[in-house]
Amino acid sequence: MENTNREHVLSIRDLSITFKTGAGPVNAIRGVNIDLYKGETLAVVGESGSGKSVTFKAAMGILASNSIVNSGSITYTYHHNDGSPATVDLLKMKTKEIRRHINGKRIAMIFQDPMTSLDPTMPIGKQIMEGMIWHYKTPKKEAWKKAVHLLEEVGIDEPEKRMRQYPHQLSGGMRQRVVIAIALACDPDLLICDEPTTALDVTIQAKILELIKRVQAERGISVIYITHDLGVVAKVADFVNVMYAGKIVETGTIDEIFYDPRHPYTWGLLSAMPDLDTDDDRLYTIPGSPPNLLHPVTGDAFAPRNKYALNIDERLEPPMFKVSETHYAATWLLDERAPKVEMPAELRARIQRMTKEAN
Amino acid sequence: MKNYILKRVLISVFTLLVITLVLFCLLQLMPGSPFNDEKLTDDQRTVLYEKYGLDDPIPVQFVRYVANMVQGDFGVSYNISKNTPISQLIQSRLPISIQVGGMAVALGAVVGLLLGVIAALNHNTILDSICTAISVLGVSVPSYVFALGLSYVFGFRLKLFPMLYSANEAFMSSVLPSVALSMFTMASIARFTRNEMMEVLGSEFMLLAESKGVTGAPLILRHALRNAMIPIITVLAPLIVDLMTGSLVVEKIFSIPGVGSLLVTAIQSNDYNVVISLSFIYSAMYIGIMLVVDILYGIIDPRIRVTGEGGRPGFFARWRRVWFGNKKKGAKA
Repeated sequence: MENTNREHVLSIRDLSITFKTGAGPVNAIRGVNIDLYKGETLAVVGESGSGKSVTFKAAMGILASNSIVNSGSITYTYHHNDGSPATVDLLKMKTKEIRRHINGKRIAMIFQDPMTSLDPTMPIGKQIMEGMIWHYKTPKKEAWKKAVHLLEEVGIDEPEKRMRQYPHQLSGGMRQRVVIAIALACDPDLLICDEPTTALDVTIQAKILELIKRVQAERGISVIYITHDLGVVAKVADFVNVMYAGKIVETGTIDEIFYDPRHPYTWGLLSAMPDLDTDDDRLYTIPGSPPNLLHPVTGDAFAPRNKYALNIDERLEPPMFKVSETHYAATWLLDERAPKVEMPAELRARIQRMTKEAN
Repeated sequence: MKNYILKRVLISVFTLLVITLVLFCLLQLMPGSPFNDEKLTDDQRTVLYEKYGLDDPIPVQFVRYVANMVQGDFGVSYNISKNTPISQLIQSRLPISIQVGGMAVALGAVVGLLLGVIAALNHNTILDSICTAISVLGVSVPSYVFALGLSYVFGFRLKLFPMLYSANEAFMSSVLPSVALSMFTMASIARFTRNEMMEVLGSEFMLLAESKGVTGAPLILRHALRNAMIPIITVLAPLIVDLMTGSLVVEKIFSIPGVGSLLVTAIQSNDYNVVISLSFIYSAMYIGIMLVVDILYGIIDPRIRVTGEGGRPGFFARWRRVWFGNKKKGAKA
């Protein structure tokens, strides 16, 4: 799996996180492995509550206070100013250390809802400059100049005027651009986008994605998208991790996931995408709902919703089966003893149509 | 902004006029007269009525009173200290009440804010429970109980502070009454600060600020407290006036020559001019503080910056929302 030319940026191993709640402990993350390499784009896809945000909040050190990290590591590799590499385990660092050395400076995060993620009582400019002044003691004048420049970079016109405005004076799309400008303020080398377009309307979505893509290309940074929208994934990602009930169930390149999905859950997700070229006028939904992680999961967490479930799914959790060097899926269907099961015919037809269109 | 303030001032003047009229009418409804002395004959009483113009029709009296008031003449006292101009009577007492009340407000607001922030930052821990216990105690125990307790412990036993107010030791002798008076303010502010801070701390912009790397006091002061401030100020403003205008019981316990006791005596003895003047001053203070608060809202939160146009929730709407919640009347905030 390791390619010598690819440089590790983030590597999450066996991450397990529990939340203490009034009803009891909730095992939100149950052994997650994720790899991200320099300059690449990774998407983590899953339903609400599958733990995709929590995973990366752990990397940012902004987990809710009732969370416990049970095990695992999040190793992050970066370069000092002189070019020498350094590797740290973010889970072993103190919050204070993460704030001082990582947050904003090396890893920045873009949040879902730009209506709520900007401080309503602080002018835009001040919010952009805050990070630079905080981390690098940048003189105010210089910070101002850089912030104006950043606003230009994210495509906001009249940046000088906007600097003095407050969030409520801007539209949703503009605010998300500001959030991106804030994220870029200290030149991070990893950008985590938590559902960056979910709260925006469709016409703005594409523009924001293009903006992030452009910024990524210009700066050569790595980007992680956390999303439930496979449309977004298709537009931006190099690699996809499908997450279900606190576990990665399938991982692969974008082509492998979209054209050769192996996990029944991925089949379900792909089938649930709206499609204009189908004769069927109903939109497929995956039956049932995700398991309540208050209760321990035995076997495959997806089994109760899976019409292809085998007997063993009830008892034993499937390991990650290797499909190719980059493609792995956690389903017993890939075991050699398992009966041959094909993906649903409708999905197969759709994929064939898409392949034809692509060629 | 200028237009807005001008408009507000004009409305305030009108409001004060209405308040004076209502007070005037209400006082006429009180039983008895300022000259209730048994020894007075009917003739003497008539002479007194004539002397002070109390035999004129009410509208005439009202117009005359307002005309005098505009010139700064609030009339004289009939009873409490005969023929002393009200302004003189109040002048000697109001500063004392304001000093004691001001100290109480400062103490209550600062300690309340501190307790609230500490509780919110350490919520669901022992510290939070302690802060909550203090605020429940402060809200539910009347201030005179604190006054008696403080006076016994710190005045009588430990002899750290004088037990009674004296003008020579104005500061030291107003410490105990201020502390007693501040308890309710402190408790309410602590409670609201905690609730508001909890809400703000859970908001996404705090996560964004944290993911910028900002920590510690700048994070709390710059982002959290400022956003929590609006409801806190809404609660604090009327409490300020309450404290400034003195409390009868606490004034009695520490024998403070403040306006609280003056008002009660005046009402009991039908000393019309004293009652009207004091009520007028209270009202003016309320209205003035509300205006200041409305301007403060705009400074703290740009979203409610004053434009001079309608459609902006004013002090009362906000006050009701803070104490009684957003939707249902009577629901706890």
